[in-house]
Amino acid sequence: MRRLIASELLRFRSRRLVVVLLVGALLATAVGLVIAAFQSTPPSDAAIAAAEVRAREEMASCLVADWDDVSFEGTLQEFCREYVGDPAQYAGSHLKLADLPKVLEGISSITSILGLVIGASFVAVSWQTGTISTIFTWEPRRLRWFAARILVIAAGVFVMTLVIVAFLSAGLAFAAALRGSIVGVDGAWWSDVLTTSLRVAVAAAISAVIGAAVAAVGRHTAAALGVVFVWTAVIEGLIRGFRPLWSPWLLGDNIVTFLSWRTTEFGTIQGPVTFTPGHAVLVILGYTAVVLFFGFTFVRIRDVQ
Amino acid sequence: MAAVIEIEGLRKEYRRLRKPPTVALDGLDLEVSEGGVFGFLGPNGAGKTTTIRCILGLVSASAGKARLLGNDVPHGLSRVIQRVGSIVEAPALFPRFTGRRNLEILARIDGIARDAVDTALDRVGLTARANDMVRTYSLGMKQRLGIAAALLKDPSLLILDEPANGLDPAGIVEVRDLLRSLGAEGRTVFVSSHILSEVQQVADRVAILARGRLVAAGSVHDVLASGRGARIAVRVPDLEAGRLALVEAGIAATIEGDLIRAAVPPEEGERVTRALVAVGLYPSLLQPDEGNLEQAFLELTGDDQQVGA
Repeated sequence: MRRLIASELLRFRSRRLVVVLLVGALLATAVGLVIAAFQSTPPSDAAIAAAEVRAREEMASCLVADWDDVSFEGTLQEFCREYVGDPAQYAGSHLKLADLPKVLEGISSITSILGLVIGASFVAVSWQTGTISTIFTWEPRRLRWFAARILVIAAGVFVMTLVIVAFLSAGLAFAAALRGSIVGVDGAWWSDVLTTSLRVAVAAAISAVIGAAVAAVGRHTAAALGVVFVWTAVIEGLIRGFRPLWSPWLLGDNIVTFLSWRTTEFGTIQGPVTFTPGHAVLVILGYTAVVLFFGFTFVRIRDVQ
Repeated sequence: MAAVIEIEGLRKEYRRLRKPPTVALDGLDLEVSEGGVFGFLGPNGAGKTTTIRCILGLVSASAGKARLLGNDVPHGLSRVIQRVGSIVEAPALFPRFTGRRNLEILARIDGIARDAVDTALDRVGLTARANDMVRTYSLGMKQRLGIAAALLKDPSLLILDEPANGLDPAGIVEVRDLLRSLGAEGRTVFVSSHILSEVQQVADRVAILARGRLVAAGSVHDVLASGRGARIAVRVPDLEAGRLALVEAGIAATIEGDLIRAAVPPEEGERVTRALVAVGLYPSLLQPDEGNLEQAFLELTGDDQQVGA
């Protein structure tokens, strides 16, 4: 298995698509950061000081306010911290390093799509070019081969996403230091950045695995991407509209919950729906397992022409 | 000699929507013993590639059994695959990787050293182009890279499906020499082709396949003999008079070019000579006429299917 993984890893990093997407993502990030930095006006020291005072005042009034009608998880301190937000926001519109976790959550849809494309194409290309015949004449244990490829896809996309996240974080820190503010960067922020980064990378890796498994069934990149798009954008959209109470079982909604790692509750015409991180993890794993089951089954039983 | 490939009653049907199934293999029986070059012949669509796909586990048989190096296919394939090098149809390689990178990826699966990649490239004459992308290769170069990939494992059994496809005359001669040398090294080379005359020059034994069935198998000489019955070619000054003399002597004869072909075994050459001398015709040439595999194939199958020349 080790040799098989080594072979797949070499194939993965030799793929032009992987290199092009990674370089493209880093370039787009760099361009975005430069634009954001130019549009940002750094706040003066006085403005930052005033903002910190304002945030403390908001916090104090939050802690003594009457919240009896509002339900929230955790302590009042935690609730008010989230309610008041970062002190930097009171210093006007500018680049704030404190916003990094939200920015990372925001790019997760892009990294997940990148993962999906890489996963789907990495599997489908073997069928489209016919190289699958060559591979199976070297490793006839198809499930073993597919497991190795899935592992490499997941690990490869995970690392690739972390590289993008690290580049974005470093770039934003640099831009915020020059043209914005670094107010609100504390221990809790570091922890938030780290866990959000990991969740973004995991979400991209899972997207890649789902794309790879669907491609193993359809044997075509475009078909795999089309199926995933139709499911998440069309079918789940219809379910969300007509059967909102089923939303906690939809992939898209649970990925959002997983990324934010917050319990949320929505009122719908048919009643309230609640999303919790633990439930989201189970649903995402369930979807992944089902798609992988079909992928492995098709790889095992179908003839290679 | 031990059998390296054993096929028993192999049948493969391809089901089609609202149409009767296509039968690619119809109860094929075949045994290939160890060593030498074995030609697996037949016209396009005879079932050669399907047979190869079945014995390599790429497609599942509808019925029948196959064994490769003594192991059942597909379940025992993983135990012997390291000793089997193969090309199935056109060599399937990643077009955007270099030739070397394609081989390196395969070599890693079996933990084969990098030196072996260089050796394989050198053996097929691709060292100079090893670092170019495969998509820039000619069809012949791709074939040679496919052969290099098959040789990487230093296999005891080579299964090559139409290895001369797309090669120019010089390339065909190179592949022919390579097959001969591989067979001489003690490996078993199982080579399929629709170009029967090509394989006739390198194979020790052949099997002829038509419409998914085996029609003949054995040494090249035996197959030629079974196809047409032996004949004698004879040249005399007056071809028509000679033909008539032979027919009157009870020997079927036809004129082909500047020769009369008499349908008698070579050991009955004396009968031919007597019949011709009796009418005052003295042969300037009299020799056994084995014909070729194309003729044998057409006669064995009793039809006029097109076979490669």
